[in-house]
Parts: sequence; structure tokens; C-alpha cells
Amino acid sequence: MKADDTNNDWQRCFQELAPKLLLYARQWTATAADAEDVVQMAFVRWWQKNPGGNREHIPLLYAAVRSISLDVRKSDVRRAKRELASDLSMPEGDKPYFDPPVEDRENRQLLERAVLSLPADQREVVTLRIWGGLTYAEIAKATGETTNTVASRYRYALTNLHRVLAPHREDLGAAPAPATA
Amino acid sequence: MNDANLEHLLRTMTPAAPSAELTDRVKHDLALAAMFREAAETATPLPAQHRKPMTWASAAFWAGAGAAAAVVVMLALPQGAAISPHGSTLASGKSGTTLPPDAIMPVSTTREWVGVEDQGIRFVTPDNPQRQMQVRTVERYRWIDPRDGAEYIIETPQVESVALPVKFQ
Repeated sequence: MKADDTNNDWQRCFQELAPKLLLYARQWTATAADAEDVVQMAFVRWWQKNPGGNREHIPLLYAAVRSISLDVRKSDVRRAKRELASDLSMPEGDKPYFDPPVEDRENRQLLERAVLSLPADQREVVTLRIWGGLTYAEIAKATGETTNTVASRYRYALTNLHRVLAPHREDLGAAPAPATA
Repeated sequence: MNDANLEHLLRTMTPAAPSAELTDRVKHDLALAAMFREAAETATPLPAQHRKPMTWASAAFWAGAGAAAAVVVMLALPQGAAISPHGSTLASGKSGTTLPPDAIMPVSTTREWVGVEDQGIRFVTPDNPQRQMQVRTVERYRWIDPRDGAEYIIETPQVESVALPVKFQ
């Protein structure tokens, strides 16, 4: 029974965290398949050191995803150079970052493009805050930055998103901004 | 649109779910890690007087020697050879080789084809034409340390020249 409980524990934890971890890993990896490899390595390592999935250690899991993603990206750069030299072409197109309702595909593309247009450090903080559900302190722990730096990057990110999405406010169905005094 | 509206809008997007294959791979890795941990826990440690303090140089030497030995063993293994559930015996149908319980353990060797270059037909002798091909591959060796699950990967690019006999009709 204990083995079954442990088996169910990791599966529950993984089902909850995997989509968020994949979104985070895709900040750096070239493809969704690479992001899955990263999440696989990071989650297995994290669960081995943290059986039971203590929520206090979730920032360390994101830190592991970050570290492994950056290593994979270095390896991808080297492999791309080899493949370019051998005239092998890479497959085009990849899995979307989000699973939207079918009727909302255009809005999803608008928002996705807006988020992808952010500088990498701001996009990282937005991903962890909005979809990872982490606090500023937890994001600071995962990224190795100070809480103040994380907070200011998040503010800049929101400002940039407002600017990029302003022409599409009506399409997104957002309420107009309140008038300032 | 204020910040709260924007955040709410972003949260309506759900991150894409992982593939079913990913969950299976994680399940397999966790089971493998549990196997290695059990093997390490049940192994008999060396008596204290035989243990020497490990310096980084000797650790690097033994990791390299272990890697080289693993490559030789894996190349010599017949098809279907496997590591037993208790982690330390290579079952080859012949007399097995027992690895020390705390040795780095080989997991896989893969060879990835990168490209091939046709270098044309050359005549080794007037009546012996051969098509010369240059094949570029990358061999990837993967090991796991059962003590902490650390993974070692070594990639070796290789270039081989292959000569294929040609017959003109």
C-alpha cells in the first residue's frame, strides 16, 4: 500500500506541475520535445531528493529546470552547427505553448505573441508568477536574483504587455482603463 | 485595461499539457532510481581500513577508467544482455562480470547519424571501382551514479570513411 501511495503522490504532483514546468522550460529550449526532456530530468532529480513533493521546495524544481534548460540549449547550439554543416534540415513548426478553447484561438495567439515579445528576463518572471503561481521571494530563489529585481522585472513586463496589447484591447474584450485624475 | 485585468486575461491561457509519453518516461526513471538506491543501500561497504580519502584527481581518474571500461564491456556484450534488478551483475548468458556496488553504472550508448558525404567513385585498381562515402556520427555514452542519481554523458563526434564496391553494367 505504501508503494502505491508513493506512486500516486508523484503522479498527482507531476500532473499538476508538468504543464507549468514545460512552459517555463520552453523559454530556452528549441522545441517542445527538448522541453519535455528537461522536465523529465529535473522532476526525477527533484523527486529523488524531495520524495513526497514538499511545496516549499518547488522553487528548487524551477531552478533545476532552468539550469538543465540552459545546458540543453548549449548542446543544441553545437548540434545545430553540426547539422547545418551536413545540410540536414530541422522540422518546422512545434507544439503551441498553451491549450486554449477552440473559439479563443485568435486571442491566444495575440497574448502568446505578446508574451514572447518580452525580453527573456521579463518573460521568465511573468511565466513563473502568472502560470507558476510563485511569489516574488520564490521566483528570486528559483532564478538567483533579489526580490526587488524580480518585482521590478514584473512591473516592466506588465508595462510592456499593456503597450503591445493596447491596439487589440477591443478584440481581447478587456474593459477600458479607468480615467486618471 | 489595468494590471488585474491583464493578469486575469493571461491566466485564462492554460499551459499545454505534457505528452502521455513523458509521464511514462518519468515513471520509468523513478523506478530505475529506486532500483539503484536499493542496490546501493543493500551493498556491503568496504571495511574502514580499506577506504582511502577520495581526492578530485583520483575521482576523475576512476570516472574515466570506469567510463572506458563501460564502453569496452558494452561493446563486447551480446544482444539482450541486461543489468539485473539488484544493479550489479551484467547478465550475458556467459560468466557474468560483477561491478562494485558503488561504481558508476552504464545506462545507454546511442549513435546519432549526423550526415553523409558522397565523395564520388575512385578506382583503387583499374578494375576495382569503389564509391567513397564519409559518414559523420555522434556517439553518446550515458552513465548513472547510483549513490545520488547523478548522470554523466559523453558525446564523441566521429567521422568514418566507407568504401562501397561499385559494378558498372
